[in-house]
Amino acid sequence: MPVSLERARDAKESAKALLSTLPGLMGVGITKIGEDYALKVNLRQALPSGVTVPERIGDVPVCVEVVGTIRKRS
Amino acid sequence: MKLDSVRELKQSLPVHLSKTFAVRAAAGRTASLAVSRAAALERVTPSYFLGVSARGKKDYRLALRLQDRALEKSELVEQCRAKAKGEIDVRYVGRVRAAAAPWYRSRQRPLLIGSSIGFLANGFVMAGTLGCFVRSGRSSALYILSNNHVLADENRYPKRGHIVQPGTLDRGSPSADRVAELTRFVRLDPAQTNLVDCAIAKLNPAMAADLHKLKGIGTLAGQRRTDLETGAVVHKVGRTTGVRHGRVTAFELDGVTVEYDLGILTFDNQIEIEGSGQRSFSDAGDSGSLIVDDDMMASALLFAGGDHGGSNGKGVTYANPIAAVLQALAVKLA
Repeated sequence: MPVSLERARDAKESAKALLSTLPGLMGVGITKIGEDYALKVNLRQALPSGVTVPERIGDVPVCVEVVGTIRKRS
Repeated sequence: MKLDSVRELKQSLPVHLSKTFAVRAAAGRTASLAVSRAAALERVTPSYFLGVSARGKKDYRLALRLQDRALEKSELVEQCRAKAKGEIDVRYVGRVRAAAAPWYRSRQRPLLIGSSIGFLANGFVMAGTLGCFVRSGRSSALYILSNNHVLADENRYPKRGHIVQPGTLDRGSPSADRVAELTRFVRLDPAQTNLVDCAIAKLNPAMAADLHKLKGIGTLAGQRRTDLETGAVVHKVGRTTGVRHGRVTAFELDGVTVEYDLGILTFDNQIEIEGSGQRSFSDAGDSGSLIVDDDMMASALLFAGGDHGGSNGKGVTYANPIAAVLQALAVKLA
């Protein structure tokens, strides 16, 4: 059974608490991987060696992306 | 010919020819290599300019660029050809003008969605994007919708402060191009989580506006009633990159940290978009752009972005859901 949006929303709240001290965390949101809703964890830069993000929060998959610095667009 | 030889020849020609031909100053790039220089300093016609043209590696020719067709079969060309011993590249290029600014960085009357707009700043010039037009309450008055940081200078611009189109970065006149006055904005707060970056400015009396046209995309059809989700195709037209197409890569993003003049601000419930093809979805100056879905329904207000990430590596863009923006300002689409 695909991961539902509601399960992803619940997992997002857990992830925000779990990852709050992650260096360079730029946001936690919801995305899709195939039919599954998933979590998207954005980082300013690659994580230091030895620091990792879980591949799943519960049964919700997590994808990590380095998005750099975000600025207002003007 | 060696590069030094061409340079030497080029230096010698204007002086030599100025006695024979009437020329006027003209500067610009040649079609290939090197920077051209003024052929002469006298303001007379007809004109030409000289440069260096590359034929291959370490093989150079004198470049003669003509701004008048009458010169093509003239003694000027023949004398240059003789001096260069045939090692010459002659082309008619016509008058050289600075490239015209695209419509979205130019003055637009009636006002157009997607065009340059901004506040009047002391000591610097700026521009963002006119998002769309809205109405407040039961009044028929029209307002421009854009970002707080485009219309209200991150909370610092006074109420009733003048808004100009185009923005001063695009040579908008502080007096002649006033089109609206700042009415209200949602405060940006570095100490708390933000949801939107938005403001409205009331159009000046008799200022005409094309309310629904997104030039290059289509006609605004209304407000999207459901949230954008991953995979949704979206479009925008903005002051810097014009029309761009993209795809939602994430939604309900919390803790999005954005650099402002005020400091680092955090936003919840944001939409993330990547550009389609090999392009970004936005760049600096596109702030305030209205984002529409594939059915031309208003869906989001663009406000931030970066240069990294996205499946094409061109960066990601962030936008406030349009429903949150309209609700926070208590306005409706015009």
